[in-house]
Amino acid sequence: MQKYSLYSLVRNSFTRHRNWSPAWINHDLKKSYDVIIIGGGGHGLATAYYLAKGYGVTNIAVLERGWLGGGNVARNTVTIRSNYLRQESIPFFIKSVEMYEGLSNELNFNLMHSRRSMIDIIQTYPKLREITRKMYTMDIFGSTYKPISVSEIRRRIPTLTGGGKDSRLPIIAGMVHPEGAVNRHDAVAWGYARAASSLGVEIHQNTKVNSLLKNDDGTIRGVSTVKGEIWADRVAVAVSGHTTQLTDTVGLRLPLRSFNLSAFVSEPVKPMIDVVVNCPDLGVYLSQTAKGELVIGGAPDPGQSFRRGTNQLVFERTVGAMLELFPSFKKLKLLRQWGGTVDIAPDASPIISETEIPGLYITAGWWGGYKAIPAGGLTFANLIATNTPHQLTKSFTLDRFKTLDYILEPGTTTRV
Amino acid sequence: MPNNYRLATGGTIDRKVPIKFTFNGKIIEGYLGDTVASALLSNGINTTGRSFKYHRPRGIISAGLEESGTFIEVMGKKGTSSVPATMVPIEEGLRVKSINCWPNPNVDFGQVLQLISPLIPSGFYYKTFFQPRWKTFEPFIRKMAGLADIPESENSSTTYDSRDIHCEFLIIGGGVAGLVAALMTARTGKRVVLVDNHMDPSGNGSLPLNESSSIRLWVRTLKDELNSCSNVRILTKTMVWGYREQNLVLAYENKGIGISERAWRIRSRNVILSTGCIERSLVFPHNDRPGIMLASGLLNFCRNYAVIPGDRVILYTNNSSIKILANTLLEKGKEIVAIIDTREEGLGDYTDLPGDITIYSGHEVNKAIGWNRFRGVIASPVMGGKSVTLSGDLLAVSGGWNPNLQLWIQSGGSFSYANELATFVPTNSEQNVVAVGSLAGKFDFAEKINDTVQKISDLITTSGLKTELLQVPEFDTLEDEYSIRPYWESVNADAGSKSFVDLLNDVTLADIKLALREGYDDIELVKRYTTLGMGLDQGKTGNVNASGIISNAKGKTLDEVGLIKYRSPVSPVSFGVLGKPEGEIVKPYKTTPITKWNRENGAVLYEAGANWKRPGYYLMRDESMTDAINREALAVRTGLAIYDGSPLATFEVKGKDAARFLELIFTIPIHDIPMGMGRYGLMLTEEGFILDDGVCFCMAENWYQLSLSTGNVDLVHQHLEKHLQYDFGHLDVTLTNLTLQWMNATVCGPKARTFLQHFTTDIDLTPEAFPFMGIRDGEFNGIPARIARVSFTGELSFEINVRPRDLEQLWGILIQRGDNYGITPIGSETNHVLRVEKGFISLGHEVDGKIDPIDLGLGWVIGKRKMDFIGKRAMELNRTSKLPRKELVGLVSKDPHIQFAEGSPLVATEDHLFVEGHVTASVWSEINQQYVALALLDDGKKRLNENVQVRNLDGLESGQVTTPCFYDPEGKKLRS
Amino acid sequence: MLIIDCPFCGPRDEREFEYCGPYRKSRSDNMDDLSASDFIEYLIVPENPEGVGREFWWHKRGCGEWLLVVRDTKTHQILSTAEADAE
Repeated sequence: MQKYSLYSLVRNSFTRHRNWSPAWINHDLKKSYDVIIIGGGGHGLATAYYLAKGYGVTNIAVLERGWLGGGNVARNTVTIRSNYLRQESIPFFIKSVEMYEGLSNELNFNLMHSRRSMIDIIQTYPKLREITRKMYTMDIFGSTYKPISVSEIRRRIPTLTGGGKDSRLPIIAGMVHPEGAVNRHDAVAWGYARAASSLGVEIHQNTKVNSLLKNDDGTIRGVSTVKGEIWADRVAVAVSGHTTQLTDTVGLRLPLRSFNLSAFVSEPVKPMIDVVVNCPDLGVYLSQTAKGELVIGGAPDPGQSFRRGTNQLVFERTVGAMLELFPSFKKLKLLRQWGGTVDIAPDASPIISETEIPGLYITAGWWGGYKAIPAGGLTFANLIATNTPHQLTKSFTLDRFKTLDYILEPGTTTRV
Repeated sequence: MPNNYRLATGGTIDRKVPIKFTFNGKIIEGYLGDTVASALLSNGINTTGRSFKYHRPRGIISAGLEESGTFIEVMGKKGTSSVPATMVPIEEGLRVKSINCWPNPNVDFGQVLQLISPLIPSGFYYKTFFQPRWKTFEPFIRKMAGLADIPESENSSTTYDSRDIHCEFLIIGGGVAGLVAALMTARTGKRVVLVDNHMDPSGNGSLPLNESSSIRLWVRTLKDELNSCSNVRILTKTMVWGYREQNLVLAYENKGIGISERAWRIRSRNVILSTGCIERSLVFPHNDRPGIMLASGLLNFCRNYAVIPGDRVILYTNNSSIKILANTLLEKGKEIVAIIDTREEGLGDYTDLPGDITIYSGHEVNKAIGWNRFRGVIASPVMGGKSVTLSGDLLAVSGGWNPNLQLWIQSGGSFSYANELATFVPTNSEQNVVAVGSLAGKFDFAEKINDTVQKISDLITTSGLKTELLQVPEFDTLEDEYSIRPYWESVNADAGSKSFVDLLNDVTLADIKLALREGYDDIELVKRYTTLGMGLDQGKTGNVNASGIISNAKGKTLDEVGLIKYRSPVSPVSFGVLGKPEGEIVKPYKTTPITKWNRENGAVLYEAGANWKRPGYYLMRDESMTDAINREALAVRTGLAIYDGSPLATFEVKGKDAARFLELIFTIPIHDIPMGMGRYGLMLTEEGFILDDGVCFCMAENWYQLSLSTGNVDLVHQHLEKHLQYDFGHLDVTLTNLTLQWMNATVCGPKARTFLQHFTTDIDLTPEAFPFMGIRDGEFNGIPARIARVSFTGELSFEINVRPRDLEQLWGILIQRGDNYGITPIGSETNHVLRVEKGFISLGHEVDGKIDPIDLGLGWVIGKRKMDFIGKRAMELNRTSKLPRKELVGLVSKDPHIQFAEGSPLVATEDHLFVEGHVTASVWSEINQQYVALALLDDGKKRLNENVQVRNLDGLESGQVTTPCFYDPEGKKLRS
Repeated sequence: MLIIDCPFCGPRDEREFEYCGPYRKSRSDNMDDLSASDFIEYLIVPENPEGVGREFWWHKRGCGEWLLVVRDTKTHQILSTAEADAE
């Protein structure tokens, strides 16, 4: 792997950058591999990297149906945090946040990781109660939530002028999560792809998997792709949003529903918000990118969807919620909007699990899975390599659904 | 010398009305009808901005929405963030400034960045500034980023609103094809909407036409007829930015800067897209110098604003459309230094141009000369050979024409590359939408009209309507047939100079090649690596060139390469029109009939679920919140109190199968509830979650009333309807939500009965005649009432339910007559304290995750003989899990004055890294004079009297596990 | 923002309706009749088609009827709307 540094950048500038080598190597597709990973997104690529680096498994094909990193890793709001409620979740996300902080150097790819702090804006007492409970539980495991006053919120976020005493939902409290961070999403996919490729992992773009293949004895045989059949004893599915489309092909029925989750950015403006602002009562969160654009996210669409678009009703509500707290943004302009498909388990917590088909593994149910990429990749690699769940994800297996042992994080509502 | 580049005649500006505005503090003069761009150009101001990354001087490129050269900020009350200078009409006193430069576009300190530009190609930041240096560098990068400041919005004069309209035919784009389509559909008599970007639908095609009088006359007749149709609505200065499913089209009307802006949601059975084309540029070194414009931009400035910002013009093209500009310039007396055409000799026919113009066929521009003003070009034969240097002060460029596919693609339509047009054109549609005009790849005028007429009459016929043929005259057009040879990049380009593909984001040809070299070889990867097409203009003029460059470099066809995915909006739209805050008007609070009384009597009101705003407690004189709650709690325990329980959810269930239905809904048996009595029960979801708790009263045979909690009423209603209508549709049951029809005043405390017996009522209030959990209809003090003996406080309690109109009177008389008893109004905070003392659950506190009735010590609510109820199977299944149950317990400290913080975890194991429960509620019990808490604890019921560790931020506190009840455990009081 | 053609009220705006989850078979009168795995499948393994799928909508702010809507999850076009009938 050609090393990236200021020195190499200066040196290459003398040759007008003509001598940079490809970040990843293209290969011809082989007939069989030790491990096939379906999905060349954040989780798939990270899994390949950790399998190669930590477990010595390098005969791996990562199969991507479109372009590398074109799924949800390209479509999220880059919010990285570990403020969860359950002990089943917190240590996992703490690990992921820690891994992110050292990832630029590890991958020799600057992810522009920026620890910004996240500030939760609280407007109802039930939410305050929930978030206080989070604070106490997170503290046990070393993730931080610090209460701040309303005037301190307004000092730190001067554009937050709504939510005053006479408004519909006055701001009553705030909570700072100093570990909250943002970084450059594409770089995460590219950084892992480059590092994995240098360890011998093959990345195949435009290689859509049509179906999974089973042996007569019920074990996994491989996959059928647009470029033909490929075999492997171990097949890992990391295709957020489309998991059931693949597992259905071998009769494996999973408790997942696919939803469209959309986001949008404003035109770039001069820096004005240097934290991630989360407003759970109104259902909107935002941060400002290094380029100056505000990245804004809200709720998923009602109803299942694979459209990767924007539900106008959800979008208008999200904008309305934002304007309620940031009235001056009404003069700002919408620049781009997009959607991505996520699949959600009944308890809205992730699944990293073996399946009833020996040799078939899935990582799915990621709703906000961007922040989980490093730890998700690491623990999934551990599962594939050792056939044993990683200590951090032993609660995230499919087994929990057999006895309905849901891991319910708040923010997920009771469904009727 | 104002207006020195203005022609003496022509244009649509009003020379009689001069207007002054300021640009970067300098006073500029233009005429009514000018945009900032045309006024600046007419005054010879060419350097009007600086570029995003390298801070290179930039000028004005186009005359329209596709502008990628100059964005400005409007200052003051009408302030906006970045807008194209071409889209801002001037008016007296307007103040605008350039973005991205300081102090001004001519002297910009940011231009030092150009010195290090070799060091900062696309993606350079991925390759350097690793931790810890990134921490130092990041704030600097952020400071350089962004364009305008966020405009001031205090005192803003802009207003925002939104409208919905529906129609049979929606036509987007008022060019000539759009007008034809609008008129033909208008003649069906159905509702037609025509949306156009401009002040007036131009009726012009996108591709330039000679100013033929026969076409103009004909367009005029189309417009006149259209204007006279009462079934046609024309939205002008309105930009369609989004196209969603089911033909929902989103438009943005902006009549002028800082006036009023409006969002339109248009739903149309049929959509006709006539969004036309945009000219693209050519990619060559220094193609961004001020003074280099799109040919269509220059033609537009000349025709509409009578501005030609130069005297010696060079034209550079790969297609036939530039000839009209050449003709026009010559007519206006300008000198054409040369026409450089990349096509070999014989492909471009310039023989009919007047005068003696030098034509460089088969030539390309190697490099533009000049710094903050274009001064000329170095050109050479494409096939190699001697270069020539030409000097001029204006360069007009045409790289061909691209259909505006954004809306077509948003609608789900597909597209493919058309070789003869060297661009992408629409193919199949997904929704009810047709593309007409130059959008559909019909670049020739007559063909365009005929094609439109054909498609629209087909559409009208398929809609089952009668079509009237449109008379199309013979036109005396003078244009050559459109011909083009794609020319994606200069072959003999000066290697050290930057050729821009995306001016707005400063993405160069070298950047794209670098991306390809490094393996970012999909067009979407190129886009992300270089930020190509991600600027304010979404790459309207550059994206097809990028596809061409990639196709060349990778040896793929253009269909294989494709096009950068356009995302909505087509052009930026103010958030002000896109969403309205859910203020008091949109999402009002619900209040009870005695809210006025509450406010006058010290109530502190806030939202307490389901949008109800109700008292938390009543402050007397200068007492604190704690004092107030303690006083109220003591009144309930020792005297007399009154509570406004109106928001409680109430449902009525009637019918032959009512009991059977409720057996399935509730955990409790229903069939044996005696008439006039109620029973407490829980409602689970099918997944076994506790959905609600409440009381089911049997009013009469086949008639039940449910009294449920306030906060979950919507979910519960949905739950009941779902099972009633779908799962148990065969049952004879009717369900009515009576939440807002029954209001209540709850009189509670040991003195409640004695007090109420002072009133005239036909209801016997004695414990024998009216036991706990009873419900009675009758009259109370002359008011029709339904009184229930339920208790949320653990004290003797009468819930007097009345019609909304009667509550104020009832409340008034109770307060008045209760004075002797010291009647005390109490709020929901006090209610909560009393519930905790009794160990009564609250949904928001004790119900957490998969807690079931047995965990809460409410196993008794599950009828022993019950066959089935919703959630039973899931509950039983969950109970086969090996995980410990979280069970409800009480928790107290040895020191009565130590309070366990609500929400704090209970921790086990030596390192205290295992959470075995948490404090669900924690209150000061005034009657017990100690803090008491409820908690959920692993296997809690088996652990009575054990000590557990409560962890807060300061460390651990020891707590003792008790039964979850701290007051009257036998329940004598509430039954009294 | 969908238009849902209520069989009782005609085409109405999505805002009048509540989305109520994917289609599932109507509940049996006695859940104990199902095996554990059948029960889990009934309970939490929904249809998740990339294409035409069935889902429930409640016309809450209209006629109050429980509706079965057939909608394409890729295009969001609604193919049919009918009263949700238990089998």
